[in-house]
Amino acid sequence: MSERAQGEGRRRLPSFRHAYGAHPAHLLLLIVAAAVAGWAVLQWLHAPTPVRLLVWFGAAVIGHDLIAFPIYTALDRLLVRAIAGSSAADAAASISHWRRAAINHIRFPVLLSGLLLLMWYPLIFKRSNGVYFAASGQHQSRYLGNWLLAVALLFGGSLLILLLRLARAVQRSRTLPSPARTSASEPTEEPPAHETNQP
Amino acid sequence: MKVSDIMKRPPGPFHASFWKSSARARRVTAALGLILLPMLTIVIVTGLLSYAAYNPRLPGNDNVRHVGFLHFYLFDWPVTPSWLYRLNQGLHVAIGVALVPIVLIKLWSVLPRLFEWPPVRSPAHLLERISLLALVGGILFELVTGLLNISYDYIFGFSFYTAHLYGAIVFIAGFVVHVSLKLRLAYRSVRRRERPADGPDELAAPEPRPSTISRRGVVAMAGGSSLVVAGLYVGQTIGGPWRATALLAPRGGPGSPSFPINRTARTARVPRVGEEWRLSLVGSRTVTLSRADLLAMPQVTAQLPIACVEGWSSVQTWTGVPLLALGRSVGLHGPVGAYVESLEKNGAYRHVSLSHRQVGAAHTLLALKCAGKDLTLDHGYPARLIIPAAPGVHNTKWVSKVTFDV
Repeated sequence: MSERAQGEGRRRLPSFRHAYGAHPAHLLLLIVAAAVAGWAVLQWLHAPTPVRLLVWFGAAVIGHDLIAFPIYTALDRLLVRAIAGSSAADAAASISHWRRAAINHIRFPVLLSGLLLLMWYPLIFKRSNGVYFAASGQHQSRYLGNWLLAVALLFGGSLLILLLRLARAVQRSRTLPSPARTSASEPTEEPPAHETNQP
Repeated sequence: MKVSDIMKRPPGPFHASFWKSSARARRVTAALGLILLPMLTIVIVTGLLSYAAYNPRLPGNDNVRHVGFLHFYLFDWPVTPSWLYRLNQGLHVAIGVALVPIVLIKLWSVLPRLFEWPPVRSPAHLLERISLLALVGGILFELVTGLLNISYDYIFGFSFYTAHLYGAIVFIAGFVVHVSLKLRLAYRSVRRRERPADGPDELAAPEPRPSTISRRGVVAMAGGSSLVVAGLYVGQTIGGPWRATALLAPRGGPGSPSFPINRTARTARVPRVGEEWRLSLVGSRTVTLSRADLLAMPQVTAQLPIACVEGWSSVQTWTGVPLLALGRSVGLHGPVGAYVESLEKNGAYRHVSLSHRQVGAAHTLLALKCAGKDLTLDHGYPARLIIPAAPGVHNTKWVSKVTFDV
């Protein structure tokens, strides 16, 4: 092969890349995937209620991205504002270590309580009690109590850990030599390094 | 002319400055992705095996419509180890449950990308975004239908098996594309070895609000939530004293029976049967046996798990007559396939086809007793099947007839 032909061969690939936006293997992969997924969707169309299936598929995405996300973000902002006050919205401010700890020790049990409710709401609200009873011979009435018990354990456990962290910090600040000492009501613990991945 | 010249960037989430969390970063998304990768791989593999466990090629065993092409990967489901299906299904459902918090937090971490502008940069970018619909729609659809199914809330109004299997295939297509395109970047990102070609961190907020959680904290919260959700669930799979710890599992929590039932006699409309019950055995000849006849035959006792597709399981001690011995009594000399029918008139699992491997297994029993006592009516009195390593619903209750292939 002459040098010129080689050069042209080399140039053809970049031109595909330019038009398509990625390596040809990318296109091949996506075509194969589309064929497989398309086949599965075609099988769905044979099902007795194909439209329902597709609606559920779409609703799962829209339900999360456009409905659930704004709701939980708003709730999270309420929590942060309640604890951090005006500094929560001020980009130039920073939130103290212990306020951040308080936020997260509430955030975690709130997140989990909501998540468990979302995952198991048919049991907790006895939505499927009839079908469940027909299968198991049991009633779903115990699940509301079980959920509340889980919520209590999560909040109790999280706040207990926060108190233990506080107590340890207070103790440490008392045993430190006087220059580093601060009053017991404002314990200082070296905040853990975070956002270290900022360039 | 470029798309960006024609279409003006809309306000709100389409601007990077709309996104305020300092915790979003490519590294966070990458770390969550690398946690999800093995979990999803296990859920996919166990899910496909779960379908194979039904031996769907045998008559009447396939729950899924129009599946012919998918049969290529099926194989004769084994009978040893007896805990095979229990482990497979336990992993599938428990890890599926544990996925929920991590998937949701990963979606939170990449949400700004849904609003990227321009919406399409190139044909490659367009195809990639369509594949993300299969990925995200697929996983959410699978999690929602899976959770609703194990909670007995059949509001979706379509066949669970059909929807969940084909939904899985759509998801797998999106998943393979996503992993192929992103795995190396994710790996470089958590290792802090990004290259100039990887570009700037498009997930990091340019104008963040004061930080309320570290990036490591987000990953820890996802992992911790996953452990808690799984911890409140997994007792229904392990069984024994652990069942009481499963506060939020469909077959767990304090006071739930140690040996769950999946269809009561009342629902199946099977009345209490007495002395008049007879078992028909059809082979080279036909024989009719009473319960006393069966009890007079050599009995075998075996400890075998019963494990449901829904993820719960329970190990019990079963006593009864091996199916192979029943085959011999109607003139069969070796293991053959069999078709087993129940007294139940309706219901998808009133019958099952067994492979010759299942019929030939020493511990495949027509059980008459459980834990040394006669079976209760809800557990299949006067006689039920128990097959090692098979899906729970194949252990047909209230057996009335066994037809051996001749």
